[in-house]
Amino acid sequence: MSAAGPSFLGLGALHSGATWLHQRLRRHPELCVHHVGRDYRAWDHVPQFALFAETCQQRYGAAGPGQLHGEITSAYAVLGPEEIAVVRRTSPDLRIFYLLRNPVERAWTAALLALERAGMEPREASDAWFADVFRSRASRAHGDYADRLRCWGAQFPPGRFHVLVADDVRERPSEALRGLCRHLGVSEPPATGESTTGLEPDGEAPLPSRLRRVLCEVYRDPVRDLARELGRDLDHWLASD
Amino acid sequence: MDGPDFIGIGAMRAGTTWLYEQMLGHPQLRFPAGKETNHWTAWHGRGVPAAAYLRRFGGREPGRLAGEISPEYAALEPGVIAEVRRHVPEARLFVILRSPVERDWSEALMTLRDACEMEPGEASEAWFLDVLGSRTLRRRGDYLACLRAWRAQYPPEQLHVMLMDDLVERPRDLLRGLYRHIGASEAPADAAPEADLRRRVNSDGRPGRARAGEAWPLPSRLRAHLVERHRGHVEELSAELGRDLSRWL
Repeated sequence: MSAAGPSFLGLGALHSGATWLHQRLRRHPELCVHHVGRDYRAWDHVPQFALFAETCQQRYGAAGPGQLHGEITSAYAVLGPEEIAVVRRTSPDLRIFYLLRNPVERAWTAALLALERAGMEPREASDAWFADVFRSRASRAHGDYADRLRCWGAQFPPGRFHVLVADDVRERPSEALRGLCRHLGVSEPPATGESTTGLEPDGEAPLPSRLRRVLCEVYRDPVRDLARELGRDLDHWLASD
Repeated sequence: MDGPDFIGIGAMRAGTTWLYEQMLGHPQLRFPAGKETNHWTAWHGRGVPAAAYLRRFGGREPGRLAGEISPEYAALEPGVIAEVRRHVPEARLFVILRSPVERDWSEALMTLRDACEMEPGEASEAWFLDVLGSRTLRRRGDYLACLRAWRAQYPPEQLHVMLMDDLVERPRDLLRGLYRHIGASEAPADAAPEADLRRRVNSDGRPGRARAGEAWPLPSRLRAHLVERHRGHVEELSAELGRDLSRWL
């Protein structure tokens, strides 16, 4: 284990439950977890990749003896190959978990946030505005989970990955938490009833059917690709209203 | 007494970062809270008291003036400007204006890049029309309405109006006028090396060339749309300032 780098990283899709998960993991006595906001871009703060280890050392200096330290953020999911290679050099024994959410829903949440950042009201954006945002390279990259998994998989062996699908976390939260703890190699928490409050975005405007159809088209192939990758049926992600 | 001696109120995407960089080199001027506090746009509405804003400028230092430049202030609602006046009635105000056609386009490109993580080639004309038509962006580009709202609260001589055209063509004169207005020595404007005055600064404070998308040309149809939108304001503003602004259109 590297002395400087984190022991684990959580790569979360936007509003996939990273905050919810952080609230649970931070109570675990064997873990020291940082949750970094969605707008955090590690490489804006670390202009030279070589400084990553130093930054980690400063951040994780507070971890107690015997604690595994790591962080969860949606910002890491879309790191490029060179950046992921730096992460591997810094933490070669890293354990990674990836929180996935229906990319159709993820893209809608992200577009609403973009609208807010632009100082626009939802009624000021036409379907064409949303469609352009949905089809942009950056938006699609965030939702092409299979491609992201392959990018990380080029640097880390398969046993280091644990995929958490938001649907499962919502339906069986305790089981999802225990599975993650097994992956991280820490004690499993007691199987008590786990609240799912905070898993869903609050008060989000509903996705109109006509825009859902656009998104289903955009994500048809990426979702099927991911379904093959994970060996499970995800067709319900592409179902219309 | 706490509070700013001077406040730059905008306009957004019109050279305020260049002004800030130049003013930072003036020995009499201080920016204790950095370039922008955005208090009146971001924090005032969330209940952060004015006293907290005033404290950010620290106490008076003999012979020195403290202030900030928050480019979104130009488009504040009249009620908020009245609040600014109530708390900092003596502040010297300044604003720099750029062709509103170019300003609007620059803001649209910033929205594209920073808010939406998109490349210019990914946005259709409809996308740009939505952004350019949003209430917030339109308000920021309506200089006449902005100036009138501020002048309704502050005496006209307290608000110094500059043009970005002068920043490009006569930067030394522009700085002299600004320093005179806020009560600082004009000498640093005379002493500034020519290369510093001509240096381009991006909105994130980095020198050098434009960031991706910043130099994306304004398509002629959108230009025609924006020119039509601004024609009336610009002609009125031109008369009000006694400057020929026809090149903005």
